[in-house]
Amino acid sequence: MKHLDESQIALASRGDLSGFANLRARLHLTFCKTCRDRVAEYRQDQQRVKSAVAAFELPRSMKWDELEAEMFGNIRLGLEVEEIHRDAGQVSPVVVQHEAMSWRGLAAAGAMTAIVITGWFLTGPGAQSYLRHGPSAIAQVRSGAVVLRGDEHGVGLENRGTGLMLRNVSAPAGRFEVSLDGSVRASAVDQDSGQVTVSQVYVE
Amino acid sequence: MSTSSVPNSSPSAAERELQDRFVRENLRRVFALIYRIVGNVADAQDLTQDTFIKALQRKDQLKDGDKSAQWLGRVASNTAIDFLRRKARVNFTEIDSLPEPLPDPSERRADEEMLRAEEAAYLDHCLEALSVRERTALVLRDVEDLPASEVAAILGCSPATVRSHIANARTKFRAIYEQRKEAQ
Ligand SMILES: [Zn+2]
Repeated sequence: MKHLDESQIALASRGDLSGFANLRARLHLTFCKTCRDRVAEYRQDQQRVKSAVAAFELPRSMKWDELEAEMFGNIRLGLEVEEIHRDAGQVSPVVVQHEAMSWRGLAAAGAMTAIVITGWFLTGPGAQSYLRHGPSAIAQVRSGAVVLRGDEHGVGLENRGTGLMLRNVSAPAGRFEVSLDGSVRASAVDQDSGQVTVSQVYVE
Repeated sequence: MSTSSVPNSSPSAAERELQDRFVRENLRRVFALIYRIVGNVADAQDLTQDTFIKALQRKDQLKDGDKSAQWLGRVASNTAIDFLRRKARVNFTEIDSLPEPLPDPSERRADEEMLRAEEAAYLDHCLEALSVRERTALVLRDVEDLPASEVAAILGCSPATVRSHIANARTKFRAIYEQRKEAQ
């Protein structure tokens, strides 16, 4: 009796043989224990492959939790960019096709936003005055002494005599969002470049 | 705390919560799949993000839990393979002539034997011994459970060719796995 060859066993282990080869293999396997055992080993391999893929390992300098949080944030941001583009009437079905703003660009813009917020917060009496006397707020959250607000120029925060204002330089903010967890977010689309700026301020 | 807000066309809070849950439940699996195909973290991260952004805009595909998870696997595979194609600027059948993307040896090898179970390290070794197309075909068929015909469609080759990739991948994996047992 001629046993199935290695490729046939490998394919038969998940029913991947076609047509006549499949029928022949199934017939052989019904009465050949040797080949059935070989098939069983391939089925175990499939579990091994699954666990190896699921238990991927990152380079040692990286932590999954951090990567996960970063991706989670970028996905949220990417979805918002898409919404803003749709609101702005631009034809941009998915962000990946929008080469003017790559992920790395978005990440860099995010980092710059954080730096700008810190800088304004440390040296922000001007921002405070702006918050007091500037255009009236479109959206506002008050939490104790802290006021968060958004208007056509951006988002801002005022806290016990200190303020910060993050302005959308290139274009009026297209959208505001104020949430109960104490954040204000403004987003703007530059009509020329299509670049989206998302400014966000939190009360901790 | 008082709140006021202007209306806009963004998704409702409930929709957003559903989206977030969908991402949380599938992020690790999608990343693992793409990482296995493209072989480095930076590209896998970008492509994982792109996958979810594409997927979450198709609300019609997200209603049925199991089906949407499998559909997401397809979006992820397509995204990763499109990326490899663009990067290679050659047909997928020629991708094997590229340097193997896995692993980043300088970063991953040093003391990994100490840090992780030996078995897991060896399984990685078995997978890494496969060519890109063998590994991709194997992962799509045996991890994502896509039918061979669909794997062929994603890889842009004939069903006969994809069966040959799958068979080669499984027999190579088996042979390398057995080598270690014999060495022990
Ligand atoms: Zn036999």
